[in-house]
Amino acid sequence: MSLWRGFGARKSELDEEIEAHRRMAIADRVARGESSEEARAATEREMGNMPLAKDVTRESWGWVRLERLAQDVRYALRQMRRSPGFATTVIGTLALGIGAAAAMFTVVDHVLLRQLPYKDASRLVILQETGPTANDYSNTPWIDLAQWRAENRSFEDIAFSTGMGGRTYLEGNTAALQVDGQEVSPNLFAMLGAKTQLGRGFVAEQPSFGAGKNAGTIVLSNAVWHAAFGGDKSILGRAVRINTRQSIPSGRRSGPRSSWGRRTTVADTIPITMK
Amino acid sequence: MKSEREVYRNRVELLQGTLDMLVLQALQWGPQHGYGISQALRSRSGEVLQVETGSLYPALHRMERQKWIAAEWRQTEQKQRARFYRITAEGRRQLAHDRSKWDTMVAAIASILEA
Repeated sequence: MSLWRGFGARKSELDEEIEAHRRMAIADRVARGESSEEARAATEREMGNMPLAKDVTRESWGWVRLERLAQDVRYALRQMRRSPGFATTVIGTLALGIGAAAAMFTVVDHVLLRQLPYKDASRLVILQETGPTANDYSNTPWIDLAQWRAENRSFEDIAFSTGMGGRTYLEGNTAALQVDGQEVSPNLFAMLGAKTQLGRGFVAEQPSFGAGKNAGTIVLSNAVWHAAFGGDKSILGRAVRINTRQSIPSGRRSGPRSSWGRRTTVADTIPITMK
Repeated sequence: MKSEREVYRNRVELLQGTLDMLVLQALQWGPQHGYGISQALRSRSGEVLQVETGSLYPALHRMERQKWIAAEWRQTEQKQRARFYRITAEGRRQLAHDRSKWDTMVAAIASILEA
């Protein structure tokens, strides 16, 4: 601000300097016997384009760019005040345009550009069976999964999961909690490179149709661990009840970000036990 | 009136690059304001050289920034507040430098024209 005031002072000083020049020139001419009218006209003719001369002089101060910017801003504000309707329309249009583009980019960034927070995310694919119509997704039966795994030459490993449905209740220390869970194959976390922060996680074993070593084992998300058990570390290995089933927590992991960028509760992940 | 117009017509544009030297030379005769400098140059050149106001003030302000001249506000004898410029030591050095360059140039041109 002091720079600006300094500039203003200097500008009016230049005005005064050139005005003094003009007065002295006129006074000299009058002293030589010209009428004041003649003297004024002749002096002005002789001095030429004064605003231009001042501009050029100010340019030598190196502040002109700043001054022009200020002029432009003042001009813009004046125009806006003169026609507020137009200004509102333009500002609204710009805001919508920029906002829409930014929103669009946020989605594209998360969905398409950002890497999934998993190991070798670029090599991760989802396999899915569909029916004859485009929206006819169905769960893949174990027979197909077993065949995929047996004849797989294209993938390092195939893991799978299925949702536990909306009505899943975990009995916590004080109350039952509705949770969002997935039944997963025991190799899923290893394949995604996700590690438990506490506990051993699932025991390594090949997915099978029967109840394996991990049957009845769950992995809690950090959020559910705190919500249901108050962050109690002794929960490891203890039996908890989900709906009516008894499971033993074997680990806790921080919920990874899903491909949509929101926190998922892989929480109470129960290894699949096919029956 | 006619004679003045005649004089005005006979004035010549300053050679490029000579304005600094002439202004510094004019200030050698003592501190002076912008109008005084232009009057001094006009009268000393026999009314031939007219410094454009539009060139004089940018030059003065530039040379002030280059510290060849220094400025301060003072009253003229006619009680007019004006910005007086005086030459600095650095300005004198610059003048000497410009002067020797000018002399060389004049001698060179003369020797060509008279060959």
